[in-house]
Amino acid sequence: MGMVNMSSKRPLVEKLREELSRRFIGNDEALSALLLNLLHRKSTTLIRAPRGTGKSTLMLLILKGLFGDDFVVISGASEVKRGEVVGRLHIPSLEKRGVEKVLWAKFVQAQGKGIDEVNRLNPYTTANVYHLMQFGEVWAYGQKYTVEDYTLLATENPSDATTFVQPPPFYDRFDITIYLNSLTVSQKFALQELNNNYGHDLVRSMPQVIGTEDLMEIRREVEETDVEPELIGFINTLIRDFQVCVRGKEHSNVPLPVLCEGCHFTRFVCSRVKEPPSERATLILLQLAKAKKWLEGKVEENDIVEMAKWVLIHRMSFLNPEKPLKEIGELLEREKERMFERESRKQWFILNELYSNFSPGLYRTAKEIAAEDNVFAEELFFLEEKWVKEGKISREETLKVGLGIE
Amino acid sequence: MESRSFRKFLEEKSAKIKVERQGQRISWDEEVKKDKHSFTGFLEFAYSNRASGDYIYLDRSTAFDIVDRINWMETRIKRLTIRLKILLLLLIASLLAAVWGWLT
Repeated sequence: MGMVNMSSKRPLVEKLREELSRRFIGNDEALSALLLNLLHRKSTTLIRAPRGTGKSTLMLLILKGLFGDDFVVISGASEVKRGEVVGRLHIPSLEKRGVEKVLWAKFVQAQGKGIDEVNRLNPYTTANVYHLMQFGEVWAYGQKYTVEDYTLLATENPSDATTFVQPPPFYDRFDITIYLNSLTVSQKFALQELNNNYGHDLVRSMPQVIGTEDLMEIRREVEETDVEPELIGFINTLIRDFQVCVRGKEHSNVPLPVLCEGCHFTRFVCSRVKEPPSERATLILLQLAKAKKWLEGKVEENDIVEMAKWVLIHRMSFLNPEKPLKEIGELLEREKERMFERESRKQWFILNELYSNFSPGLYRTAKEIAAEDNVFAEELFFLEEKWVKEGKISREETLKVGLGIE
Repeated sequence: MESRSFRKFLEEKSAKIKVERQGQRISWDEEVKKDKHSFTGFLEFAYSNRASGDYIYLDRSTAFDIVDRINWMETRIKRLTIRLKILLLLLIASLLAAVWGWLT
C-alpha cells in the first residue's frame, strides 16, 4: 500500500466528481474509473452501453467539465468528412500562390475530443483517429500536424447493428472501456428530479470545473507520483497471467480449446483467454494506480484488481465471449486466489534467493512451485539458462526439459 | 533478462518474509490458509455446487478416470437391470400363483 501527500489540485477533481454526480445518476464504479483515467496525459476512454443509458450525456458532461465549450465532438452516425476530422486544403492559397496549405480540423486541434457512436465511423475516419491515438500526429496532403496533450472520449453501443466492425488494434488504443447499466426505479426518480432542476438540459448546466492549466498540472503531478515496486510487481504479474501460454498461443494457429488439450496449466485464466491483452494494459493500469494514489492518498492490490476490469475488457477476446463482464469478473476473482497462493508459497522470496546464490535445495523447491505457476516458471527458465551456461546444472535437469517444452 | 526494478520488487517481497538462516539452510513457517473455493481437480470441482464456463478442460488421466467411472456404472446398471427383470418375473409368477390358488 502506498501513501502520498495530498495535492492542492485534488479538490478540483473532487469538485468535478460532485458536479457530475449532480447530473449523472448511477454507475458509480464506472464513473470512478473514468475520473481516474482523466488524470493522465492523452487520456482515451470508451463508454459502452445500450442506447439511451446516458453514454453521450456522460461524454459531454466530462468534456464540458474539463474544457467548457472548447471541445469538438464528431458523430459516427452522421456523414463525417476527412476535412472535419483531419484537415482540408486552403483553396485561395492553392489558386493564388500554388501552395498546398492545410487548414487543420478543429477536432485535431482541440484538447477535448469526443466521438459519438464510434462503431459507426467509416474505416477512413477510424484509420485517421487510430493514427492520432497511436503516433500523436495526423497527416494530410503530405503535411504533418503533431497533437499535444488531449482527452478523448468515445461512445459505442455494442448491440447496435453496426456498419463497420472496428479492428481490435483500434480498441486497444483506448485506455479503458466502461460499461453503463440502465437505471433502477429509485434512480429513475432521481434522474427525473435532476432534469426538472436543470430545465431538462443537464449538459448545458454543467460548469467548467478544471481549467486547461490545472489539468496539465494535475497530469504532471500524477505522472510524478511514485508507486511501490511491490504494487508494480502485482500489476505486471496480473497482466502476465492473462498473456502467458507455455504452448505459444500468441504465435499459434491452433485455436482454443484445442491448444490447451492436455496442458498442465489448464486451470489458470490463460485457458479462458483467446487473444491476450497487449503491453498497453500494464502501462494503463500503472497510470490508474498513480492516479488513484494521487487522488485518494493510497492504492492497494484490491484496487488494481477492480481497475483491471476496465483496462482488460476491450483488449482481450474470451473463450466464453457471451457475457464479457461476467467472464472478466470471474477470471479476476480467480486471480485473487492465485495471488494469495503465490504469497503462501513465498515464491518471490525463493526467486530472490536464487538470483543471489544458486542453491540445489531451493532450486528443487522452485521447480515444484513452477509446476504450479507458469508465470513463475518463465522466470525460472531465465535463471536456468544462466546456470546451464555456468555449468551449475545440466540441460537435462532443467524444468523446461522436465515439462517437455524443450 | 535481469532488470533492476524487478530485483527491487523481489527484494521488497523478500523483506517481508520471516525466515531463519542457519549457515546454508533457510527455513520458514508455512501458513495453511486454504481458500474455500480452491479445487485441486475436476472431480472435486464437479461435486461442488460452483458454476463453470461453457468449456471445461480435463487432463488425460481425469478424462480416463471419468470414462472408467462411466464404464463401471454402465456394467452396474446392466447387472441391476437383469436383477430387476428377474425380480419382476418372480413377482409376476408369485402373483399368478397366488391368483391361481385363490381361484381354485
